[in-house]
Amino acid sequence: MSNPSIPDTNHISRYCRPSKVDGETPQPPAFQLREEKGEDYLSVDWLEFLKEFKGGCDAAAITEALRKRGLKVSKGGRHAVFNVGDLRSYVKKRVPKKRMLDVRHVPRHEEDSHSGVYNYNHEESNFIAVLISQAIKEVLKP
Amino acid sequence: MPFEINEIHPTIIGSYPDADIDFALKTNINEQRMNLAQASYVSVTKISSGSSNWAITESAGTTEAVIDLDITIPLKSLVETFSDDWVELDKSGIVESAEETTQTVKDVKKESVLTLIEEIRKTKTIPYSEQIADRLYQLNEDVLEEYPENDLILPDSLSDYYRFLKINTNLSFPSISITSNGNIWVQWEQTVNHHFSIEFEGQGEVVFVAFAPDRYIPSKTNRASGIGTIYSVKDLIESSNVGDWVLIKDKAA
Repeated sequence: MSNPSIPDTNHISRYCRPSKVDGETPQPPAFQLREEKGEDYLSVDWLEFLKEFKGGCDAAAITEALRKRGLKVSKGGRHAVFNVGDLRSYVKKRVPKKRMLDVRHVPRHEEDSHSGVYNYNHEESNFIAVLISQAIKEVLKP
Repeated sequence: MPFEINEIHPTIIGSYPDADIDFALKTNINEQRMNLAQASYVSVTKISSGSSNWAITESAGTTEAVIDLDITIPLKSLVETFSDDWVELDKSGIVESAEETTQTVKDVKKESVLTLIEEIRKTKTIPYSEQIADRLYQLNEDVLEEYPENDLILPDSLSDYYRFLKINTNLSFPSISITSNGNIWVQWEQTVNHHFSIEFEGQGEVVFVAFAPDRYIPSKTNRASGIGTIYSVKDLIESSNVGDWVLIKDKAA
């Protein structure tokens, strides 16, 4: 894999659609890999990258980055924000064999913050999705 | 691909415990016409006891097959024929007209989902039936807005959740959400170490995740995930030690 890992001190966000949010809380289905689309990583955005190239990493900047990629962002959705190192260690401590998630930058074009959470698969997607939902650091409104 | 009901020559191959609403039929339906190489039977499911809509679901020959709702049609004549003696099928009475099959699958699925939600609301033996129905209705609206071009709540998943609720009348109110493929996901989470969730995958199958304190060393947390059925979840709640926060306190026993 040639995509560079994102440092543990950095942050990522995942857009959670309204049907995957209960109240203000993103639910595990927001972090499942979509089997029907053959996903092998969870799409996220690298916030420090956004800050460096777009001048901000607040909710509006995240929303703009998503919309530029053609994603529909609704008012009822939420951005779940994670610290990369905290997310990786939280999951590592709670899965068999202490396996580490891997968070990598996967730009689809220049200056794209698109990134991915790797190292889990469809068979264990529900289990890992629950753990990821428990490691959310902050929830932002679009 | 629409097909005519007179091409189905069914025999009963199974039923669910509450067989008054569901049954499965083995058919010799033409494989090429169904456009599914391995199709060897279809299951016929009444969307609800008060509805004339029945879902015909193609399967790949085993109960583990991926459910793919291919076509849903108002089958008044099929119901009438089958309700008397649907093993010995009189083909002449069950030909569907082209007009009756033109309703889009999505329209019927939406109607089916709304019908099921109202069934849940009306079933007073289900605790929090009103709140659950309200939440499902809101989620259905959310999904319609998010995916106007394709996905909806899957009626098969919702139907399983409804049956699950009728079996388990001692559950506290859960968080409810929808997976990307349209399945119902319910969960009860008191703390990060007190978690129980169920994804209803259709055909009576569920995927569960359970985090709970160990019975013998309560400072340790057991974490498990697996598959089961809507009928075995009751046993899972007991064996996984999650009842303290999943069950209504005065109904736990």
